[in-house]
Amino acid sequence: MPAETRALLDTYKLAQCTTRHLRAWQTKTDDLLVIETGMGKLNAAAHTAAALQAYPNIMAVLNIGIAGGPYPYGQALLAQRVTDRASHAQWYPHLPNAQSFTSLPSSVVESLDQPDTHYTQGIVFDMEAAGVFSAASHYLSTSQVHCVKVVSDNPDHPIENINKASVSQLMRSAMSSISPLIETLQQSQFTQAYNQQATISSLVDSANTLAHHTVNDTHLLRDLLHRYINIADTTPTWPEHIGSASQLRKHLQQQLDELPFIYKAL
Amino acid sequence: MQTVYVEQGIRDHHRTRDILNRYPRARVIDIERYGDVFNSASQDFRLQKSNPALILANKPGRRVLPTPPGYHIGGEHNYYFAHMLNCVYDCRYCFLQGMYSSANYVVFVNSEDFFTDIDTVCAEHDKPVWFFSGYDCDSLALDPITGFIDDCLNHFKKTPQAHLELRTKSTQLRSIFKHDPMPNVVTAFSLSPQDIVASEEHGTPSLKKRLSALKQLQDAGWPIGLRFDPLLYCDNFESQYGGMFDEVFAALDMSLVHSVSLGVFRLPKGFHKKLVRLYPDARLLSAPMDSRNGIMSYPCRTEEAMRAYCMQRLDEVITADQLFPCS
Repeated sequence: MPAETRALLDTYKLAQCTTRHLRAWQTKTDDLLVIETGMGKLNAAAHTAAALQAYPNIMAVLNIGIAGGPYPYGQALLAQRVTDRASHAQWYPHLPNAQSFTSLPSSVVESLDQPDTHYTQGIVFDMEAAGVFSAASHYLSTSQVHCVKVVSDNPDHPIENINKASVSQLMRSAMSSISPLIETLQQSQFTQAYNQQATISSLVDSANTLAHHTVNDTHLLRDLLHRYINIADTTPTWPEHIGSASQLRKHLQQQLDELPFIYKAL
Repeated sequence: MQTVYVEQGIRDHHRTRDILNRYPRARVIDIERYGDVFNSASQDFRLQKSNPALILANKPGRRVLPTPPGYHIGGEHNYYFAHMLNCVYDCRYCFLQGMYSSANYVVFVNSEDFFTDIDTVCAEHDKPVWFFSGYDCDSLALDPITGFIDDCLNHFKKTPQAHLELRTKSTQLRSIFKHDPMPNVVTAFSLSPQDIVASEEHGTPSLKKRLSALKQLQDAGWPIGLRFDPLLYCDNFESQYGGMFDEVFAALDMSLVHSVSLGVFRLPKGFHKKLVRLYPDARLLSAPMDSRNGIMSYPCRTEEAMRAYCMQRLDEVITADQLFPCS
């Protein structure tokens, strides 16, 4: 909800973007996108999926919001497990090794369809996390989808007292715990593993300007390019004249066959 | 270890407590069954490998299983068991990456149930029975944490008709050296040329350290085994593997080696496909390979040449009854 989002928008000085059907904001450098999902699992799932579809380069998702449970008011909690009470589906985020994650207490986050005040030890109740995980896990791995909740109600702070001002204040106070998580996820741990993909994509793009490639041609070319770069430790050069995609692959295969495949002292 | 998942049913097991005591700062998360975490969908093996979690669990059901055909070192009856799943090392060719969706380590704390099953299997046979412990994990690498080997050796001491192979790349031999040499326990090391160790066997002890560990075992009177599996293709194969054989033959008394096995790199097609998807930048997987009967390996002629060279070198120093080619 807007009160939950405000603290993020102010902290990261985000500007609204013109993405259809999404209330979204991003930094000038495009390294952080915030979307407002609205209330409930269905909204959360639909907006998460729409965002991941609209921004295919998203490498991590952090669901941020409020939750109720037997923890100190305002405590930020990392989700160690997210469950959907209705469907019994559950997700175990693979928690990073970073200090920002290891120093934060964790809890089970149980997503409900209606608010509940029968607080249980070790569990906080929310209404969105399961929706976010349900959608995001179709696009990203459990290492890349996380959830942090700020305790907004507990036996001493009744749920009825929650209002826009109190939520906004809670989120602002929790930003000191949340920001390091965001920064950890922004670091290149995910992109590092797949650096080569970007090089390959750029080579495929340049090959496409030289000759028409069908989907199958592109797939075969990608395989060859991976092999070439892995063995040669450098990128191939294209011939000046290419008649077709198959001729390009033939040229690349010839170059590949001539490369030595050796192990030597590193 | 920053995160430890514990099955609720073994929360009070003495081994669980011992292991948790080693990680006082770890986040301990209760789970119902280890499979809820280990087999869950949408895991990324490669990302998890950089900070795997530990899962402590009870192994139910069949704990001791027959080995695949051809997996033996001279025994007639062969079984394997896995007191843990996954490996601390990160060998690019390892089939575990293709088999499991998770890089987390599962440690089964109910060792006594494994030993009971081993006794049951032994009772079914008149002849000696071999048990292989390093099939789904490295037998020794995590032993300082699991403490399994000490208990295991105590058990095999009482059952001389049961033979055990510990297969490892680890030089953690403390648990073994607590015991007097046992003729029914073979410690076998997987060996590769140092340049391949450095390129493809990430996080493992060097060839030199493995040979030193083997020598210590041999000098102490323990049966040792050498596993040249997988042999990896390269254009300078003979110089790489020839150099390694020279080092091995110089370090060890080959006539006393219990068994040597030899196998060319091979993976089920599905596992290979998964590995290529996980590690598109892996050099090893970029070598020319063929698919034969659902198995990915090097072209026949390449494979035969690799095997022939190694057999010829091994023929110089061991007898036929020490050698077990893998199929």
